[in-house]
Amino acid sequence: MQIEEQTSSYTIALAGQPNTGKSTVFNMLTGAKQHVGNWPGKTVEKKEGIVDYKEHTYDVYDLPGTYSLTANSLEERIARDFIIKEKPDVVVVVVDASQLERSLYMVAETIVLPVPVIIALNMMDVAEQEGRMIDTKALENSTGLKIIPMVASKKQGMNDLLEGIKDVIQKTSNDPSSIPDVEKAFGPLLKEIQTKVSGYVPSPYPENWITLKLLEGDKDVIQITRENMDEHLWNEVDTLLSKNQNGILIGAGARYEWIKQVIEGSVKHFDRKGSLARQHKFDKVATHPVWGKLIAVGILILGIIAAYIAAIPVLLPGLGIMIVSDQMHDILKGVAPVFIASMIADGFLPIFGLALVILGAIGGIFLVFGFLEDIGYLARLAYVFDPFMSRLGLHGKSFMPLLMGLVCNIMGVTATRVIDSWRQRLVTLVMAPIIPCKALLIVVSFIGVVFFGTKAIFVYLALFIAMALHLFATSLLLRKFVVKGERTGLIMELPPYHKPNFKTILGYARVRMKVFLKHGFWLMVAVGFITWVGIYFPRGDIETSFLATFGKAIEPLGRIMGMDWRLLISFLVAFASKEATLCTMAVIFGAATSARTSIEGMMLDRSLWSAVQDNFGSFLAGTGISEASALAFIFAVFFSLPCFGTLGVMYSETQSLKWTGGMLIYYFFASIVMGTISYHVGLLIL
Amino acid sequence: METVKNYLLTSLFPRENGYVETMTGSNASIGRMASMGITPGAAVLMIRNHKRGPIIIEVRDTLVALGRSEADKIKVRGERTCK
Repeated sequence: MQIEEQTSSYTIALAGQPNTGKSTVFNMLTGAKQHVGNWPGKTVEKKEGIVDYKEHTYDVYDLPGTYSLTANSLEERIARDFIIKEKPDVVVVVVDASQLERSLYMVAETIVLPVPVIIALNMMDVAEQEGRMIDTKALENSTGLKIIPMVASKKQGMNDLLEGIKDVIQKTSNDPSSIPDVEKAFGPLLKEIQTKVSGYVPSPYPENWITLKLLEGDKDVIQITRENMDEHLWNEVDTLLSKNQNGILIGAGARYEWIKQVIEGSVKHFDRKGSLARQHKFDKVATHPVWGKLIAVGILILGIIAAYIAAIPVLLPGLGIMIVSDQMHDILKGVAPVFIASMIADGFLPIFGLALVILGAIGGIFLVFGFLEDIGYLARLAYVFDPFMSRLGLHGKSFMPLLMGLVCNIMGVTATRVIDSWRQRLVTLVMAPIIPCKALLIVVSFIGVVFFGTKAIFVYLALFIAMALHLFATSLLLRKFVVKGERTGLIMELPPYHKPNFKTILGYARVRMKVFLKHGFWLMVAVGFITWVGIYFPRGDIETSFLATFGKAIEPLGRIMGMDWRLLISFLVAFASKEATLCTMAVIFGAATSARTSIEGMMLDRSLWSAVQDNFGSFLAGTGISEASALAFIFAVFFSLPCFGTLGVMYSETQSLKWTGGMLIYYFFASIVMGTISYHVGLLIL
Repeated sequence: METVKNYLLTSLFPRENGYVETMTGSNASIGRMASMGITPGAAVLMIRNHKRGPIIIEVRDTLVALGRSEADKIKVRGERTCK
């Protein structure tokens, strides 16, 4: 047996501003050997991977894309904490060669930290197209850092990058030849403060970096330093700091000064088109206050259709499994004990098939919207809808997921992934279920017409107003109490349009599907199975099932909403699946029978569906349910938590049972409150 | 007569140039704007400025969209004819 020599593995951190092609570099390096999770305790995604090169193994961490390393966002804090505390062996800062001056800002922030830095000068092809020639050697001399020109989208430069990384790790001294001159920028105040904090700076933070950040008003650094010093000592520092105004601008100025120095003589423009040429012709319409919105909605609709088409390879088999579960039910009944037949055909297959359908939909969505993001269009969409979204306390990028919620809440929740800031993503995700999906609209309009006839239009109006209020209230609650943080107005880059990189887009869709498979998929299957148990046992008949017993037991509670046990159970079923609500209701009310004993199973029962379409409406009208009760039922169902699938993707997106559970509870109570209020209002006015 | 004056960024018409003179606002806002290239002394070109919607400017080779509340806190200098 051979004893393998252990080669130590090195750590590489990938940093860089958004839209520099950082994830393309990451994918290029790690290929399929990637793992996506969350940074511990946070809802920001952590991407890590492995690359082997010349007998060494490198752990690569894709840090969140950030424009700087301040304490103003969780993403930035995660990035800089990783660099300072985990001490990677090298930090590769990905820089956009076509936007060099601004892109180097991240380098300016990183080189003042005690880690070796390499610059991956990406998008060289774009720079060339724009008539910019960059003298890499000159830049290496002026910065003292290794610079690797790359075109990551075409896999050019990967070996050079790995070779460069290997070299830098093996060298012992990696200091850049110059760093931003903050001493000059801040004057003698800097040295004064540094002397005062010296000795009180907790390791591994470097003293000079702490001083710089104190002067820039960095909240985290201020807190860390303050905690480490006696009060009177801190007060001295604080007094000195208050002599300084707008430190962040002074620091930024020093960084741009440094950038100007290092790129001097390294960048030559020839054939330089005027600045206005940079504004792509399409942008004139894409950012137009009126046309831009129309185009955006048009593109979104096309996008949704394209997503469904792209989903077919996985969606169709899923659908097939769901439909086939009907036959399976009959087949299995002949060969196995009834409860096993039901368990497989009702408790497992339909929800498994549904989970596959959703998996396919997720793949489709991320292919299409990954494409739109890659080419740079989504930023224009966010720009055009920002004023509208800010009335809900959201940013423009939230428009797309919320609009998609109208088609299907599952797609809406999934689409929140395109939002970069975790706060905005979480708020949008939690609000997404308030938007009624098409299945819900069908259920609500059916019940509305049955009980209210033409007056139903007023019910719909009331629902719309209630929905708007719910959106406002939920947004406010979230922003005030749950996801606190400083709210800045829109400050967003409109990245240059790029040719789409299909490998990146495919990889992106693949990763998102994997994430769902790991979490949401199994949550759905588990919950689906549990509801089968609730409906099947003890006698395979919904009227005597655990669910029915439960419904009858909590009937007193249902009275406050004016709902008897049958409406109550139907309401509970609506939580699980909007599509199945009507069918399940038909069975519970005794209008029809079904051999299927699961919620999804009943939805797939074709004979049940035709019964619902034919005479369930008139049957319901004749059951003696009062208008007020019907109103309460409509409101409660409208505001209930959407289906299994939404639950699954919520968990998959947040990777947090805490958040998923919290949303369940919130929406459960919201629907009960809505039901109660509308019942009593209904009693008064109907 | 040509006069060099300080005026609001949001008063620039599309295709007008200016240099950032002062920036006010929260540390977070200023920090973020700075990291996207907007600092005192930077050259800006107004691209889109329509009613109360967010503006689009070009600064340091970057197109940046700014909400009104943020943009209103930036003053620029340039050359504008007075009278």
